Amino acid sequence: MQFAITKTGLDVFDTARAWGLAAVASARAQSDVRIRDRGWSFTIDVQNAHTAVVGPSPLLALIDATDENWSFIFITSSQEERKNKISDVEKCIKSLTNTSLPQITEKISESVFTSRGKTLPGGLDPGGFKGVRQQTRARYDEGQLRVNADHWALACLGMVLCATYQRIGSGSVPRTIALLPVPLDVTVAQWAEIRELTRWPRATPGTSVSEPRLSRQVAGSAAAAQAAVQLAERVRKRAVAQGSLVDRFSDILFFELFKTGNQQKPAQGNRIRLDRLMAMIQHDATVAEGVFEWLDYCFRRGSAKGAQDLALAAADFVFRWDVDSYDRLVRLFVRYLVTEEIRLAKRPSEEVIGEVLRYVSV
Amino acid sequence: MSQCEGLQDIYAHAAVRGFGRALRIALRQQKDFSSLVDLDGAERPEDFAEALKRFLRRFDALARRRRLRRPTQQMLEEIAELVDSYGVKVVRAAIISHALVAVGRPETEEEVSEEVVEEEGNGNAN
Repeated sequence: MQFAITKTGLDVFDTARAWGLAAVASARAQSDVRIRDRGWSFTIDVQNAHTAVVGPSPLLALIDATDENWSFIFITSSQEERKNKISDVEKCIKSLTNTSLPQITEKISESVFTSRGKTLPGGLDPGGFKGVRQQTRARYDEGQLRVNADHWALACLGMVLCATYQRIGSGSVPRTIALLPVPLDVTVAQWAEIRELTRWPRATPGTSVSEPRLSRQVAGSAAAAQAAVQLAERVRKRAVAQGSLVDRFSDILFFELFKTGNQQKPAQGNRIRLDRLMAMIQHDATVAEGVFEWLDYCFRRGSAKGAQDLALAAADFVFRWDVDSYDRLVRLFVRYLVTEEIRLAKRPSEEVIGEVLRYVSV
Repeated sequence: MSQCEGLQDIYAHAAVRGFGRALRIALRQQKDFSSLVDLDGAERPEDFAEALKRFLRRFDALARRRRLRRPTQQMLEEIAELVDSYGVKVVRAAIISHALVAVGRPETEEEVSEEVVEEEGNGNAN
């Protein structure tokens, strides 16, 4: 059975809905779910849809009210409002649980934008903030963006399961970056796998050191680029385990939030393309491992005070893959080597650099 | 000059490899930061040629002392041709790429043992 999430132009909202629906469908059908980006829509194919069981299912385990992602999604709401909103999401998802798969198709085919719907939170998609969608000039009276309750719940669920909110910067103004991988063609066996594949563990004392996690970067673009490299490494491992590159991601969407006086506001947002990283895995997964390790090291080393230029250069390179950015990165890397700020053991091999150069546009 | 299509081909070019290897040794053995700064600052082909010339002059002392192989005149000419065809940035990036890579086992002084060869029979670009 196939579901379609028609894109609205709000990239994060659209992708989050696709992930949310994939999780619901996977939990309902208890079978493989394939998420594909078709350009104008995301399609979700559920195998063995006929075996789907209506009623209590592992679906409710999907919603973990203690997940700290909720506090970022509803970052503009008070604690009480947040609790009520999480409860609303639970109700909507529960209602989807009690309907058959064909009925879910009907429900999600309803119009997304509706004046009687739920307010799209700015922490979920920066398009939800006022003043972003259109010019407000002197008067600040833009209305809230309201969306259909089912789509709203699916987007919230997708964002809770698949997005990562990470603190960045070192100044007095706290900044947060939200990262959401965009599936190009991903198949997952169960909903919990979606979370494992798309989220980064938070750096807490309990986190294993060996577990790859994002360094605290000065710039949001550096955090996003490191996320891209680490996601590519996860995909590479899956490709090695499966024997070929089955799962592909197209981009990572990201946007920053920062606190003004007493309100959160969106800062820069963008997407980082993963096509070159995916092509590397396809070409040679073994050499790709070395490439990802080297780039990740540049980000980790560049997260230290005084070496941030290395992370920024690596981020620029992962965004652009051109000679200018590559030239800047290698010159910085060599400089750090000469000054012994980078250990010799961290140098990439000739083969790794050769592979990187294969994808640099001249 | 061989037909080059991308940065990877330039990286694999024998002349680039030769200069990259020499730069790697100079940076490791001599901490030749000056050459790196010279190369960084080169924007036009003439500046780049001048930077390479200065690098070779500095490298020559080390090569004589440690009996290392030096880039040849032919290599220098080929580099000049590559610069004319692809520009300074591309060739510099390819040369510096060789300077940062690990050859053989990491953490060892592999360059010295690997690169020490008889000086006889090798040309001098200077």
